[in-house]
Amino acid sequence: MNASGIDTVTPLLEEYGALTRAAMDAYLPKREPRAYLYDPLADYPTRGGKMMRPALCIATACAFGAAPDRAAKAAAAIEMLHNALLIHDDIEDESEERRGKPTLHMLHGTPIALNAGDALAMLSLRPMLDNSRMLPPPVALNLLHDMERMARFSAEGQAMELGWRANPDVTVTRNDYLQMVLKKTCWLAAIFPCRVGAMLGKANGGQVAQDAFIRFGYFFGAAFQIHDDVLNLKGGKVYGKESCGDLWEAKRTLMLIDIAGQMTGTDKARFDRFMAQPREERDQADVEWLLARMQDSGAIDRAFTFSQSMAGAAIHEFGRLFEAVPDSRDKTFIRDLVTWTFRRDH
Amino acid sequence: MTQTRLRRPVPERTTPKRGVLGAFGQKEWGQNGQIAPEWGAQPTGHPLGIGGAETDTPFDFLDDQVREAAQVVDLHIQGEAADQPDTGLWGALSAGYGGMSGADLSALATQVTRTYADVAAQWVDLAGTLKDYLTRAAAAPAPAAPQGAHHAAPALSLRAACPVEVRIEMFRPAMALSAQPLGSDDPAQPARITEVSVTHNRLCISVPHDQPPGTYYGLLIEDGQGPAGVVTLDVLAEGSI
Repeated sequence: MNASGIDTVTPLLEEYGALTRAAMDAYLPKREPRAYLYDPLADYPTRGGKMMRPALCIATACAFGAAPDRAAKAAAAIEMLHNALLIHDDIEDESEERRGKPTLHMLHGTPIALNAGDALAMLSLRPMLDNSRMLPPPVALNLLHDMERMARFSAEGQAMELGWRANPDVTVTRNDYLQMVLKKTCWLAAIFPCRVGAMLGKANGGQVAQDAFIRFGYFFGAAFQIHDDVLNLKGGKVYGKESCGDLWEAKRTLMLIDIAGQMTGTDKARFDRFMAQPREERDQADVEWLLARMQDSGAIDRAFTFSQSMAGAAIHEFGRLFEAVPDSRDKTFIRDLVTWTFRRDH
Repeated sequence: MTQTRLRRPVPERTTPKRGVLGAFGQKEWGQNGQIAPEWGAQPTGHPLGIGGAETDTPFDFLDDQVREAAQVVDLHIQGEAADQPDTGLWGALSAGYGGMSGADLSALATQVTRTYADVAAQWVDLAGTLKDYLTRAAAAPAPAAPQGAHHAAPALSLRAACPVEVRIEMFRPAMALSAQPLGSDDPAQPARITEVSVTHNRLCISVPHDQPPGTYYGLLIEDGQGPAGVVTLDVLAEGSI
């Protein structure tokens, strides 16, 4: 719900999510080898994600004067690539659950999951190429260039995080974390969907400035990711990934960075030992201890407050970006999506 | 038919463009004729970050942490611009095929191949196609066309009240051409030449009497096949000839 108490987000998430799923279905092969490739490949895309990324793409295109259908294939490409990266992320993070079900590699083994992820990433190019055909060649090339840009930043962000895990002694600052989130999360979650939508829009002839939407997408994506990290620490099975999974993985979140800076003496030794351990050797007592430290020190509350500040900055950027864009339900959706981040419980 | 290529200086980078519009300095907003805000008139730098006018903007609700966080994204944008001073593929293409040498195009294609090859095999296919296309575009002279095909530049009908020079460069044989409006190579120059069309293989251009002097260009598009040539038009200052 927005400030007026009206839910402007859910209806468009559902509408554009359905449009994206229909477009995506046409690009998910239904032929052999099904059991070892195409069925696993189609698993995550059909598990019912939030569809925030494709909806943001379609809404931006509509806000810029296009009909929803015009951006459906690009939205499908974004969702397919997102799911491909999730398959790989789950392997790299050794995650056991995704959207309430076992991860793909838990179901089929790592080799099949890895191959399915590769194939899904490659297949995501098809709808994007098909969508780009309706654009003038320079704009189409710009769109593909942006896709390469986004994929490169996503890989760089993931590499930063994997590097921290491989080197537990390294000190990570909040700005390091934010730079990682900007690359790993914000480009695919917000910057790229908005930029593609604007390129597909008709009002601006597909011409989008080189740095447009980066600030908005950064603030929005960071708010989303930090809130995601906070949700991961909530107990129970409300959250799709295993509860406190980030702590078991010793993932460098704002909360972990926060308490790491406060540790001294025996606590510091225990913390360093925990960070250096392989995941399978970490015990529940240490995880509970870290969680209690985060709660008692206010690290979780501080992270939540910080994510709200980032959301405020995102709304400010939205006002600047969309000032001259005529009012529409899509424009309202994009703005309210920022605060919707804080109403979701998964 | 291939004619002498026109070399234009690479435009200097100006201040970052903050808005959605403005990649080509355009001001018009959509079909309704609304005018977009003058993005260049915005304060230089981000109000939340480095270079911003922090003291006279109403952002007091943002704490120091967010200001610091804003520096991350500003450095990211600056770093990307430093890595790609020509703004990458888009910048090269928006400069117009006609302004690029064969070496430029080959370098561009190589860059495309490298970056796309890093991601997935299908991307290599795409880049390979692009490279073939751009290499063909850069080749001179153009390959001999089969008998009966239109491989020469279209005939030209020109209306202008000011002195102009026009060059038409064909990348390859082409039929069923259409023409883009001619845009300036100067990012700060929003004026375009919009009365451009191709009828019965005749390129018709009408230059407004008050068109600012400068170099304008536009692609000749073959229906369903993509760019086939480029039109370069110089509007000369009065008294220059």
